Amino acid sequence: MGTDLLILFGSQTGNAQDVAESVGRSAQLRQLTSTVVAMDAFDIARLHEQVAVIFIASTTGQGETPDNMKQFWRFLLRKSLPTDALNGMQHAVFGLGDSGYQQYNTVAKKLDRRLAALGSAALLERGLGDDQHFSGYDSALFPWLEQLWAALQDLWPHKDQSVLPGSEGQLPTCKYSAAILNFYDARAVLDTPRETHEQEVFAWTAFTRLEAIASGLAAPPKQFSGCGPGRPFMASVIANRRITSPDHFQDTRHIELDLASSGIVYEPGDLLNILPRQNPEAVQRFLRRTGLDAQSVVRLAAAGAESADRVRQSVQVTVGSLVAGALDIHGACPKRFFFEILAHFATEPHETERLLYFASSEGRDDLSQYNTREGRTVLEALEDFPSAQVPLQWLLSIVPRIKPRQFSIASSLRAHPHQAHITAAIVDYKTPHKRRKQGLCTGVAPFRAFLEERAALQAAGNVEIAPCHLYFGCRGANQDFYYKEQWQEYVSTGVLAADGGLVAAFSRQDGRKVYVTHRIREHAQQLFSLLTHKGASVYISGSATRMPQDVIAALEDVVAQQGQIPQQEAKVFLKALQSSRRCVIEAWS
Amino acid sequence: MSRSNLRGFHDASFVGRLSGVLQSGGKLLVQEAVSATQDTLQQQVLLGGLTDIRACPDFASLPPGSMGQLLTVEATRPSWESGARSAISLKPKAKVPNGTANGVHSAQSPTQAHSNGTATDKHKIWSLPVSADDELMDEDELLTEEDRQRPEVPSGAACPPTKKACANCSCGRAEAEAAGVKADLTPDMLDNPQSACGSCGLGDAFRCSTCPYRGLPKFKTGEKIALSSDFLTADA
Repeated sequence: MGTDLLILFGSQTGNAQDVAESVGRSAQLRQLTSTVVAMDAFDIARLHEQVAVIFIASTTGQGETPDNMKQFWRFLLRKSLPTDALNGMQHAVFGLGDSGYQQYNTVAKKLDRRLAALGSAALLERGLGDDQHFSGYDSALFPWLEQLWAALQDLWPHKDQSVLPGSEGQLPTCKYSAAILNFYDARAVLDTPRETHEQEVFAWTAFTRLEAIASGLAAPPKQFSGCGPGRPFMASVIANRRITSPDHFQDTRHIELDLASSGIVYEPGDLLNILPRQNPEAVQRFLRRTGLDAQSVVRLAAAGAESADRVRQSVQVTVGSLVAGALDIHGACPKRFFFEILAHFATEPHETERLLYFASSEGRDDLSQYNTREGRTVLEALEDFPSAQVPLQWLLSIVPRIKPRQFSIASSLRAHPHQAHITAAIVDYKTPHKRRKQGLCTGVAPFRAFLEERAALQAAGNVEIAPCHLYFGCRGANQDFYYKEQWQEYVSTGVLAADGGLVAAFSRQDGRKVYVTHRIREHAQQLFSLLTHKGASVYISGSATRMPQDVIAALEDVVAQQGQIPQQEAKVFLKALQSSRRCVIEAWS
Repeated sequence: MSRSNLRGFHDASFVGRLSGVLQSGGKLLVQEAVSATQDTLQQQVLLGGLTDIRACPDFASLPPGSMGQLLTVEATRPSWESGARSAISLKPKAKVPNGTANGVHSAQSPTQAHSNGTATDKHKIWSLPVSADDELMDEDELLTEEDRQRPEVPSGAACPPTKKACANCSCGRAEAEAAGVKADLTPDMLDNPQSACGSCGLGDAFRCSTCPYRGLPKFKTGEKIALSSDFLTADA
């Protein structure tokens, strides 16, 4: 391999990747060289050659492995691998998870067990980071790292792994290089006819590719024409209607988008990624704070790339479109690394001291309170530490990239060709310190897509559709019972069953609190018959971590009671439904 | 015959159940709506324990103008039972890495199949591409009882963190902080903000966890605090 350590990560939202990169930097401080790369980007044929491998893996809500380790994990699960396949290798696993979910850190746990079963020796006990802790996964990470360095010192007693004096104060290598182009070189970019929004989307697309290259992720696919992951389509909004009553506190919108000739196709249950646009005032504030000139053109490249590569993979955009289109300056919270780097560039002693404190192990709780618990944005943090002037290439490295927002698609292409509909509730909330924030969430969307699809198939005539049963929990029939008329129509056409096909639970109506779980128990007999005799599948979609679990518990009760079997057997039955994918849960927080 | 318009309806375990009602050597016809880009139906039928799988292109398809196609697959229940054994001749050089033949689920453990392997043979496994014959273990089997436990939500989760007190706090807020009490913000304090420790005006980044000014913008001592338009007034 050539480096002392191999650090492999499986990251869905970028957190595990950040941890992996910070472990690499800490290793460097201890005179250990390392390679940091996503599991799927690593040639697994060389795994057995490694001596010391560190795995950083996050677990998503339903226990799924992150996308960039799925292939690697599949390979490791092969029954044909012998129990001594990884003899000679030592491993260390750190997981990122959330104990609010049933499947807590299962990815890291399974990985740790499988590596051991294949003959790899654990350097130390696996570490499990938990979002529920006050300072999140940092709480478990710091102590685990101390143990890791100690274990590596034991593994290689003759290798000097002490932190060299003064090295902690040094600026690490930046992932990117950025050069402002002179007038002539800049003309090619400035003369390209593209309106502002398109320029911003172009900057996002180009920077997304560059980030993948600079971060050791699997090489992005070749540039096809047409749209797909990382290649957004500019869709027109056909409709944007409020579907909650005017007196209801929540503003929920039904939005219809025209996919026109994009070639985008989807199926019920799919998600639509929408790239948001930033508030122009915030962009202006950021430009003033950083002293960047929006009109200047910059050439960006991954640092350290071979020169022929650099030219090929470099990106040329105006600074203004890069900031507005690609950098999340007033939304996502920065990571600990942001504060680490800011400390290098702050010139006021009290600012430097505070930033170093935030980046340290002792300061992690205070950092969490200032940063993640308050939903602090990059712009706010920069304004709180006004002496720090950060060069552009470093801003690219520490400011989170704008991420698309995911929405469950609420329509079926059969019912609405070339369109995608979404249901979005605009949520106003206060942070712990009473600062106002806004967010978005969706609810019954995937079921509308599913039922529209079935209705369309039925209307086309050739296919028999078994009637469905929709249980819908909301606050009130006239407030937020979304798509009520559409469901009622489906009952009359048989897409939803005539008996028990549409069951609503209103939690704030007539002074009574009725939840979906109550309704499930009321319809125990019918549900039992559907699950056991009719081979029905159950799809549960709910916000907060409790609702899906409560529904499962209610179904267990139904099965136990109606089937007259012990609760434990009912639990087993529900588990079997889940593992054979006849019971699917989509939960979000 | 089993037919469904739901993609993915025929998963391996369901096919396994269907094959259970077949006689040895019996045929099963499976029809399912598949999308053009993802066809794992044949794989699921294979994993369900059937053999001689072939796609039948001449069966019905969904109405024109619709998405995807209806794929028909014909397969046979094998004439042997699970656990059956048959002798495999092992040539010294050509190792069969997955230790199975004719699709029979071998009762041997992976180690037994490899105990004769040389070091280089063992490593060859890593370079072989994953084929449809390669079985994957059930990953849920990896978790022990202990693994399946979730920790109690840590008691410190909702509590304010321990805080390094302001170096020269002389205003009595340190005591309030120690008692876990947040001092109240009054309208006077908005008009004429004061800070004995000097940190309150620097912004949230420098404030104590119980500072009454938390959430408010930076200020200069004595200057009325200006609230920006996207900010709700703090509750009294």
